[in-house]
Amino acid sequence: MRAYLIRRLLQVVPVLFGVSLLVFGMMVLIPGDPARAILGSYATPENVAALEADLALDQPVHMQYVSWITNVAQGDFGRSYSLNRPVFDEITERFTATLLLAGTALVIVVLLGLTAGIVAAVKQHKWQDRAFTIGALVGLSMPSFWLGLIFIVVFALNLGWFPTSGMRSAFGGGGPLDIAHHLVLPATALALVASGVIARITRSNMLEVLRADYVRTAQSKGLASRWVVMRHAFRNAIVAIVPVIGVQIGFLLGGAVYIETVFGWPGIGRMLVNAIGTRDILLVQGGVLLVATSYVLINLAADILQAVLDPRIRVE
Amino acid sequence: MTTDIHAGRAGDPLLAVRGLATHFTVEGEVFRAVDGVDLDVARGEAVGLVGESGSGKTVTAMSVLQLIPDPPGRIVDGSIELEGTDLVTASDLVLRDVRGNRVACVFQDPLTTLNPVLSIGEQIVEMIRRHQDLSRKAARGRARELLEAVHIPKPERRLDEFPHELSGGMRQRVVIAMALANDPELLIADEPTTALDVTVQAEILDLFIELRERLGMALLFITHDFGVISELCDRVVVMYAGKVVEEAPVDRVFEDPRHPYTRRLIDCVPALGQGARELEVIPGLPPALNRLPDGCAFAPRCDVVEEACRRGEIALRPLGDGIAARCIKPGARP
Amino acid sequence: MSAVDPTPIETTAAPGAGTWKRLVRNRLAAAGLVVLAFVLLVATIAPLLPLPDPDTVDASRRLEGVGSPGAPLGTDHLGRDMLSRLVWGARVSLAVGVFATLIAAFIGSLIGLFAGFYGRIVDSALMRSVDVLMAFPYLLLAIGLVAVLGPGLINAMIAISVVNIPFFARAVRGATVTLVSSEYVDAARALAFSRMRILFREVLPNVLPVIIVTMSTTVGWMITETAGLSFLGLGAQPPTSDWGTMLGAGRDFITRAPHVSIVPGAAIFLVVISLNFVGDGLRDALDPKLK
Repeated sequence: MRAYLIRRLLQVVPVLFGVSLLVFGMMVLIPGDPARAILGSYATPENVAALEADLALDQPVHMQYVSWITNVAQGDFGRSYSLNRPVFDEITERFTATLLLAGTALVIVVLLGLTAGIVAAVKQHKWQDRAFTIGALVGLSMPSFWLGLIFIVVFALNLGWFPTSGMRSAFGGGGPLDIAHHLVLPATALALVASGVIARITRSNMLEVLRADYVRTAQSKGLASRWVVMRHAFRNAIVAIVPVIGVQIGFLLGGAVYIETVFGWPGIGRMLVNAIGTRDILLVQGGVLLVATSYVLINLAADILQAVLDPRIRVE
Repeated sequence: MTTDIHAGRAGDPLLAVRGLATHFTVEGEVFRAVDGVDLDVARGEAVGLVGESGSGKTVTAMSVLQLIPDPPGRIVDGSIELEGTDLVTASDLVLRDVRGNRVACVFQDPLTTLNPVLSIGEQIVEMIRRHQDLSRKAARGRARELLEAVHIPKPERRLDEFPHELSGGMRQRVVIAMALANDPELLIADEPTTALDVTVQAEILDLFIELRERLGMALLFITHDFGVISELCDRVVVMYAGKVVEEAPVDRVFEDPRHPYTRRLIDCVPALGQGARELEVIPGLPPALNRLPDGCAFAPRCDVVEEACRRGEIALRPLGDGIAARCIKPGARP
Repeated sequence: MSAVDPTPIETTAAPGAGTWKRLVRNRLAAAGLVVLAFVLLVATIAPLLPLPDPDTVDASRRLEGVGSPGAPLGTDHLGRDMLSRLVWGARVSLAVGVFATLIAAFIGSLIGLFAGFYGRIVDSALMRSVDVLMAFPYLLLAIGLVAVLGPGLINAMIAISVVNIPFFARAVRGATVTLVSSEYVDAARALAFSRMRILFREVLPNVLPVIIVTMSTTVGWMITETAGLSFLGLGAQPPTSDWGTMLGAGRDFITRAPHVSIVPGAAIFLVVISLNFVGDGLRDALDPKLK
């Protein structure tokens, strides 16, 4: 297991390096003068000159990268001109809200997707299978920004069960219950697409392991069928599902951009869309780097979890 | 459907299969994998169930514990009585108390029959605790004894290992140890040596012989190899195309097989000391189970076939001394 | 037991008449095909249809509901006819989604073919780059690209195709590696065919089913995601309008006239689910053992 861990950790290094190169490249590729682009059109020539020195723009590109990555490693992502605030403060604050939204959605995805997939596989060819299979396909075919709007129309505007937007009530809000109340609609809308994906992959993996010889062995031991399905079949199927869940977290983090826009959730996705609108390139850069790095680490965690679940991977 | 030789035997058998029919439906086609099989296993008796691939021997054995995947398989007729309890109509709960407890199984391929993500210990302990009221610790102790009983070295350490860390032969020993966990009255072994290396095959076979002498449980041993039967079994039942074609005591069947198919199967066994004798392979293939011919299913491949063989159903006829054959000219030779 | 085992048929044959037959026999796939054919037909002949001009503003008829006289799907906040806008928007949305798919399929398949065929350093270099693209959450990379290129329909399309390249590269590489180790490629090598000829005449036709299946599974996302970028204001810019911009514009009037947003979204959903039905059917038809 230790050898596996070390090897897997070493694999992350080049990927993170590639990610940082691409994110750094955003600034280089932007047409025109980067310092002017970063500071906006009302910047004074003195400010532009100061920033050019700060970014080492007079030096060759690879030195610019070194200077940039050194700053980033120390948590210095620069200063957002549009918000007049350190990028680091803004993106970490926004990312916390996104993590809350995506994390809640993930819980829904796992519960709903796994349950639907297991039931569909166990009841193969029966009505439950057809219902869940078509349901999963409907779920993953829905544009989440559209689903979010429908939720608002139905559950917020017509039924009045949930607030239409934001994370906290304007007056006296901000408590855990208040936030949870604001969270229900966006998290569910965000979760449905990924749930469809997980339900489908769970179903096909379960169908495969349910035919396995060791499932028959488990039956021959006199174990209850529920026990056979969960401890023997599902325990094997989940090994291959875990990395897919890791990938789906990427879709949740990306899909959060839509959902945050629709529901006015103060997360990093909405911040990015606004930042593109104001051409606040440092904010975009910092936000993309933070989310991408987290995503790489999440996938690493998923791979390690997979190794924990499957003794065969550990020794390979 | 009870044939004479079964009715004639003294005392009730441990397992009595009567008129078993297990069919598979695939894309609207019905495959009669097992069609009207009678089979008895007495207490402590070792019965060999022999036949080629597709003869229905495995399906018969899996039907006993209702382990046929449905769909596509289904027991459409017959009864399977374990000392008076019909397992075909038994409730799920009754069935689960029989499985792994009174009747246990050893399957063909030890590489796939053990759960790859659970430790050896977990898998054996689970089997013990399902049927015996033992603490986790006591069950683990019992599991260690079982591994010792099947001659696995360093049993304490093996308990925490996973199947992929063991060789094929060791895994099959684990499967056997697991099957013995609750002192079954009947052990069903479905070609337990076929997937193993030749030297390992002999070791596993020796283990079966030893365990049977020591524990005295009844054994239903499925194989396509008559050589194995002679060493291990008391009685042999030969199947072809879903039907029993011959049954006889082991010593009698080698001396004088009554059904041409049995004779050809025995000819396939390399005789000890005869060196590189040309092995006889039965020409042709078994018939498709969705298009069985009229009359004797073996007729197309039989070397003593005559016109009458292809007409009408041929019964399994008792020939005395516990022998029966489904042939209109038993013992005929070309 | 072989006689009772429903042994699946192994086929990796190029798509042909049998595939088509299996595809249309699948009821959901057939329904999906009908819907797609209808949408494509309507989008193609839009100029010939008796529809009002999609851009004619009529302040007197703002936000009329579905089923209004003369406007079966109502009107938007500028009094423009929704049905007409939907039909004309389909041309933009579908064209952009399909083009994005073709670009991603072309570049991704080339990467996969070269990586799988040449192996070693080529393989490592190409696939590690693909890994880096995969290291970004799907939509986030597209947003980063739009940030660099600037908002706009073409840029959104480029961004969406870039983020889909890895799916093609990985699938095609896998299939190519299997093929390259197979005998007839050896045979072609023995006949001293040039490498390019082997790659494009022998390998490519055989990985085509993989490319087609990947296209069918990704085109739906690409239509959704380009519409999504337009919805966020990063895609199509006025006066061009696709389903995504229509949906986005309707958001501000969701309380009074939800249909302005709901209708274009329903169109996206209908097209995407049809594509998924066809994609599933296609996958089963091309490769029955995956069922």
